Amino acid sequence: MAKVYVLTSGKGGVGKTTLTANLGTAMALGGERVALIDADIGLKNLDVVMGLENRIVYTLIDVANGKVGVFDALVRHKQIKNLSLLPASQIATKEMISPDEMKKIVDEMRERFDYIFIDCPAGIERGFRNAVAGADEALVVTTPELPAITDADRVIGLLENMGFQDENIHLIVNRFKPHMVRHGDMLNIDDIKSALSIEVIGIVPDSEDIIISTNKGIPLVLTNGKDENVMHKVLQGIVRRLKGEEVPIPKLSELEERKGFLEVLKSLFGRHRNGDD
Amino acid sequence: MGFLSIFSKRKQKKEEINARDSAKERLKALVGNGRRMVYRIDDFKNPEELAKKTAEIKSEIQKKASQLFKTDETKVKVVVEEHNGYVVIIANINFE
Repeated sequence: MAKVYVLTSGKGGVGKTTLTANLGTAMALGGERVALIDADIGLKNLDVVMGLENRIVYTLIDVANGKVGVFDALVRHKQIKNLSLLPASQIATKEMISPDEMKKIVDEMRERFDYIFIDCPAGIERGFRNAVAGADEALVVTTPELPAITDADRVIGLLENMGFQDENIHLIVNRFKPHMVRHGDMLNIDDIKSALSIEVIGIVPDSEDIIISTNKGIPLVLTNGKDENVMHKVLQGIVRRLKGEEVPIPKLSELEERKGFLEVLKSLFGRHRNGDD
Repeated sequence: MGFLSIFSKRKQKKEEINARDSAKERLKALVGNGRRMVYRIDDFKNPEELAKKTAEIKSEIQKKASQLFKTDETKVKVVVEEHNGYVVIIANINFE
């Protein structure tokens, strides 16, 4: 029986979709049977981040309307056969599916998977209620800025009202910039933790690699030869914590990519080589 | 004069409140330091009666909508939700 996580935030643009894609892929790479559900109906993106946009035949709405069964609508990943996506429709609206229908679909999927990750839309209205309906635990994603943190606080309050226990709500701080914390320009993890009063399950540093991998349609954890990459380690760490392993949260210094002298020179002189400016 | 202004600028910068402290203070004012208020929205005195009345309302809307749009009643889905103290009724009509 699958364990179901919903990635939610309240605020848009904090990285829910990218994290859903990467955590799901990292989990599947470890051999688990994983399904990703795009609950952002009308503004779907998870298929694009996964590079599966051209393989979609049926969507979540087709399943809800009884047009096809849930397993007929799943899109299997090109390289990882134990990773599937239930895509959202771009022409439908969030009101076309109810929380009860969503829960029914998720429950049907539980038997065939070990983990299910639901990508929740921004906001706290119908789309949020749909995404949360079938989940066991919530991963609240925030960035270290005030608007994102206050929205996360509102979402945590709503999750608690909906019956989620404190131990089933986890926080992921995304786009963290250690050098800004060091200079006193950004809130640190303890500040965020004490304001939100929930356990931090992961700190994801800001990374240009994420933009590159998203543009390529390949989740970052699938890029080769990067075992020493900080982002890889961070994402793998979250996945291991989700599996129940005791993995310490990385220190500030461990969240920064160490550049060698040659790499610094290369980035200085090679910056404009391929650009338009 | 220019030499002295270097020092005055440095002093001014030191006196400025840093972004982290400012954010911390504002965050405390916005969300506080403690727990969020938790209230269950389904704590009604008589849940059975509420469920019965909700079912009646849903059925009436289904009938009216199917007559109005000349469609089968089974193609009209009605969901009743609570949003911040307001009851929101959503009717979905499938014309396929």
